[in-house]
Amino acid sequence: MIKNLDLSVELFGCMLKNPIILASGILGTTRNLLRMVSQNGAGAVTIKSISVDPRKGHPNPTVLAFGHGLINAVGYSNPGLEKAVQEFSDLHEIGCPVIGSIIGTCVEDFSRVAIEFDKLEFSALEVPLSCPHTPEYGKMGNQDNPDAVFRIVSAICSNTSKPLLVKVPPAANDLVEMALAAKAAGAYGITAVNTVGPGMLIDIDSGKPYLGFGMGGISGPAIKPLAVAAVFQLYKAVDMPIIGTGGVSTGRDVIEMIMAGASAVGIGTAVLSRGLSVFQEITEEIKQLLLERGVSSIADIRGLAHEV
Amino acid sequence: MKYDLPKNVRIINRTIENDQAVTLHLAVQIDFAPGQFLMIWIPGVDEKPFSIAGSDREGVMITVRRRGNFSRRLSGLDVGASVGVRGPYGKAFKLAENCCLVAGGVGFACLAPIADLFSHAPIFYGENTAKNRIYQKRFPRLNFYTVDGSGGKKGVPTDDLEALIQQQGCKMVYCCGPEPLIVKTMRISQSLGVDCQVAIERYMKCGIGICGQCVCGPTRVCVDGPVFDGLYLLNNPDFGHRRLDATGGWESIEVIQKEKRNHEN
Ligand SMILES: Cc1cc2nc3c(=O)[nH]c(=O)nc-3n(C[C@H](O)[C@H](O)[C@H](O)COP(=O)(O)OP(=O)(O)OC[C@H]3O[C@@H](n4cnc5c(N)ncnc54)[C@H](O)[C@@H]3O)c2cc1C
Ligand SMILES: Cc1cc2nc3c(=O)[nH]c(=O)nc-3n(C[C@H](O)[C@H](O)[C@H](O)COP(=O)(O)O)c2cc1C
Ligand code: FES
Repeated sequence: MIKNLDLSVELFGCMLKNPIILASGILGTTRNLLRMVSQNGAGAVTIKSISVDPRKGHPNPTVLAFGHGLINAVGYSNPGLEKAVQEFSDLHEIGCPVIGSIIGTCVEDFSRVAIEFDKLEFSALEVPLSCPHTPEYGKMGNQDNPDAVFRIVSAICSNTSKPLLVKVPPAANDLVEMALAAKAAGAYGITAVNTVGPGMLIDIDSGKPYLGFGMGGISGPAIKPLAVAAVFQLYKAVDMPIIGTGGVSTGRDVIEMIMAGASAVGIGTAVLSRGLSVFQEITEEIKQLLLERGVSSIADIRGLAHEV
Repeated sequence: MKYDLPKNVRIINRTIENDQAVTLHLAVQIDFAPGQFLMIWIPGVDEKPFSIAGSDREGVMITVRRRGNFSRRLSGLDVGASVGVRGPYGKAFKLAENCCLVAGGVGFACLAPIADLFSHAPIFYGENTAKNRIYQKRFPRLNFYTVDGSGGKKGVPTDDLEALIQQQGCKMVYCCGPEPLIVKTMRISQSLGVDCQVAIERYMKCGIGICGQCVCGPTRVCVDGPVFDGLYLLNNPDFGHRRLDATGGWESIEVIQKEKRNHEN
């Protein structure tokens, strides 16, 4: 283990021991799993997104590996607000900051979840507005545009004092406008990016799409260039902390995201390729890379790719 | 093919076990170890986990008991039809020859490859009622129990376990079945100081450790299990108590057992 190199970052008023955050929808179903990820070295963890009512999600297959990452159409399965409030109590026991993720089909839904989550020990909240594969939500609910972002973020922020992260899609024409709308409405930061899509893969033997829902969101190494570009664009245009998410699976990827302008990074799909030890291992890789470059803190390289 | 997309394979043989269960032979060679499972996909319907119940030169077998929609559709497929397969997934049993097997219901499927391997190992197998018995031809000689006394000995497969272990000095107990049966088996093994490995079930979606649907305490059953050390599970807070349903909400195992009995009656 490499010592003497401090990877801690300050984010949403908390000190994270390192900038590696578990992304929403990966293992975030229960407090025991969150604690497991925390014990494995994550700097912060995000719960799987919660709606007011329980959702079974789409039929299986919902998550498939396809050689360049994952394609998923989980369909936001979640136990609903009431059960989530029970599950995600006593969050100080998790051992690192916990981010609460909120989904909804209308402004009132977001507010209702925000009101209850405000009472829990979440360090921050997150709202994904660009899911590509769930009717009435995200893209399919017309939430991935500056107007909707403004309305939803305003509603959440008027019901909670917790810092809010807005999760955006990559490769959108109005990406910067969405971030500006989020900021104007009171958001704290941006998580960039959500899964990319919709995407589809078809089984040529049966002639049917592989995913139960047909279409899904793409994550993992396949989307990293899109995610890096999104972080780069946002850093240039908007003065807000950015959590760079999408295809990060090595220490090099983390440094790349930070050079693009990220304050921290999200990790999802890499849990498949590298197992739960990914958090601990990546932290060591970052330390090694910084050491090799004679850099003593992450802040020194943030946004480096923007320097002319 | 471990982390690949499902591969389409043909059903080359279909054995009717009883009026609720069939064994399907799939034309695919899979390098598996006893205890591992496959995700079986019916395009356009659903995809669920099934234990690899055995193999021969032509491929692998799964045994399907009808419960709800998916198992009804799968068990109704004819020879010549295709299903999607991915796997093998999960941790396997650590093998020890001087062993005995405790099986409840279709959990027998998971233990069958061990019974093939160690053909002398005593098998204790129980069903609620005699007509549910599977593998009559494959394993004709075993200690069979029924709860209602309609076949074999009246009782459950743990009834004579302690006596057998003491007589024969088994070093390892393998168990798969309803959780109350697993708990009983673990306690008996523990009290006799004998190793015990068990395979458990949870609702699975991804099968590859990503979605968090199959959690049991701090573990993911799809990648950390389905085979666990019995002693470990005795200290797992969720084992024997609760599991996540399709939404990710908790349901109690006692409730599941009751529902299942109503379903069968
Ligand atoms: C690792 C693993 C291996 C498995 N191996 C096999 C196998 O070899 N053969 C096999 O037939 N099945 C096996 N299963 C179960 C299988 O994956 C399905 O869950 C089962 O076929 C029911 O699916 P369904 O859609 O038909 O029923 P559902 O619609 O899910 O359920 C119908 C009814 O059955 C009840 N039920 C469902 N699952 C269970 C359960 N596990 N215990 C008690 N009651 C239940 C439900 O509560 C409901 O009342 C395995 C599961 C796991 C996790
Ligand atoms: C199986 C799966 C489920 C996901 N569920 C959610 C979710 O519920 N809410 C959300 O905001 N993002 C969800 N995501 C998106 C991830 O949080 C992340 O933004 C995306 O996967 C890109 O990061 P990665 O390449 O590191 O996986 C999900 C991703 C995957 C693969
Ligand atoms: S089934 Fe998805 S984590 Fe186990």
